[in-house]
Amino acid sequence: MSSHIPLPKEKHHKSKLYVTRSSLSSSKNEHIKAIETHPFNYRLSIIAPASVNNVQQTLAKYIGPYFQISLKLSDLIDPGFISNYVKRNTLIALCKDRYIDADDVVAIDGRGTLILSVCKDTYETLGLAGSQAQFPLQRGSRFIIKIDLLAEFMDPMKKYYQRVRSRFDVVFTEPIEFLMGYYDAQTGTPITLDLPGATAIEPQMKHSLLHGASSPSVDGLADTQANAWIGRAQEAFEWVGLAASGLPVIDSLCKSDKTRACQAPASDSQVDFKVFTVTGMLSAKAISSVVKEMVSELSCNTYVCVWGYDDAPVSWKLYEHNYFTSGENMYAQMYIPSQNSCLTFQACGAWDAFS
Amino acid sequence: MSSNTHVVDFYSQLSKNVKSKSGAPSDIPMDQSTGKFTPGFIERIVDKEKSDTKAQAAYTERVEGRMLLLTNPFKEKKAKHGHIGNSAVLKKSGRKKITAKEKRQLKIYDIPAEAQRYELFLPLHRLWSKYIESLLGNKDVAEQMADTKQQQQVLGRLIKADMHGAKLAVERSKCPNFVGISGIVAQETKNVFKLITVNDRLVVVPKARCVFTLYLPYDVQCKIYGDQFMYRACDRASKKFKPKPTIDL
Repeated sequence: MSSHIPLPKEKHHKSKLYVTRSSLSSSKNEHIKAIETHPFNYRLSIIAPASVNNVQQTLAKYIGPYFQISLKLSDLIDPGFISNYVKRNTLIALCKDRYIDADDVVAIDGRGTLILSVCKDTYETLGLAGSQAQFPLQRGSRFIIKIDLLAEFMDPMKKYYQRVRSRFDVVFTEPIEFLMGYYDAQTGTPITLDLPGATAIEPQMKHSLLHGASSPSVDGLADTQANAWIGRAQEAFEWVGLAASGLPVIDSLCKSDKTRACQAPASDSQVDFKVFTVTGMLSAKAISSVVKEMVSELSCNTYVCVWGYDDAPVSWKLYEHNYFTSGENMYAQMYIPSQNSCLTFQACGAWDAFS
Repeated sequence: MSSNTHVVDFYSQLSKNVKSKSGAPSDIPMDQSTGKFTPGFIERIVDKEKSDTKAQAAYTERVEGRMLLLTNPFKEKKAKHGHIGNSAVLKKSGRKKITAKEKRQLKIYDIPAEAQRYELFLPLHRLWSKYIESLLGNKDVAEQMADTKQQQQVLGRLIKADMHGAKLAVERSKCPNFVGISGIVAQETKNVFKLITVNDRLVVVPKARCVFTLYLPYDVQCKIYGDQFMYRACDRASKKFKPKPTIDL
């Protein structure tokens, strides 16, 4: 919560951290659901013991180029575009360099929903029915419009389609710069987007080594009823965050640096870790495919950390994200094969409707 | 008195019409003593100086065979509301107009469905165009708008102009469903514009929380902030408008 903005009591929200413990062998696959329901991701970090070799190959297999393209908004509802791209595979789009608290943000979530998070002036001119955003400072200053591109009424002969198209033509006359990811619907592997003017961008991959990092103890994390569980879970989350950021997570450093909020976790042992980081537009399906393949061959504790786009209009399950000044849009997962379990940490900002 | 004065003879005979409408029963039997007493009484009270024949004639004309009922024959029968006896009477009221409620009930301002056609309102629009051209001085409105001084004059006239027949479009609205509606103004009330659209629909658009675009001749457009335009056309013509800052919807 940003401290400099005075808010009435009923509007006071705080950032929340949701921790979920799920079984790796359960058919519910809660940890996979958490990944797949978070559509807009820009960075993935996998922290695996240095002995694990196949992470880089797995990443290369599923992570591929995304595209930058300038399109008018009416192009996104073109029947040809919908049938060739949106219906056939998974298409994710997010407008570039637009801020959720100041601009009109447009996105396609990968399941065929066009999401417009627009400011009041645009909403009053646009003439498409939407709902008030849940957490602006003043009610009615921001609106969310969702259009299901796969619905029957998005037929060019239908009235609703004609209305949407005519209003887009009137209001959004200038082309918008989009980042687009086009992926196979089943595996999440990238597919080439053969739209004119689309520029392919390769995600940046890098890896680093953490020498002698003391991994967090997982003993106390099995019993979620214990009093110390929350504290231990928070410590583990902080450790994952530090490690994913490439900071040395060793006892001595944490103890000597008094300014750091992190406390040294109770360690089992000191292990060398490799941190693999991919930056770019990442499909939720691709991340889940990477994780599934990695987990199937897992022998020791592995950590995954994913950051979402700050200015994405939605977070988990298409809930409003509404990043403001201190919003978070990231999650981390701890895979513990010895306990056949996974801990998922979902960090929601103060303005995230998911929380 | 002048010679033209009409002299009324109070002793003239009553017309048959009056007699027949009186409704008084005439077949009531008379008491014998009353029959004997009345002629003598009349003769006594009539002035002796006048001739006896006159007294007798007065008796024959006015009294004989007639009777005065001391009871009201109509009272027992309760009259209907707005009637006296069997005959209806117009209720006297001060107002000469029917109320707004009565107007609504009679649907006198409703445009019938068969008349809600865009092409029927095009002549009205042409008429309005001529009217607005003459109102703005038959000059190029674009030129007038370019000049700041003339712009104020043009806007001052426009704001008082009659909008029946004008082409309007909703540019912004608090309610998104109204945005984009355009047509010819068929009716204007204090709170709404009734527009006939190209699709032959009559759409009622509230003035409140809407911004309209007014299409003028010479491809000139004006914005109308509905919140500041909430007057009847007749009231607007005589109202003195003051400049107000741009409002939020």
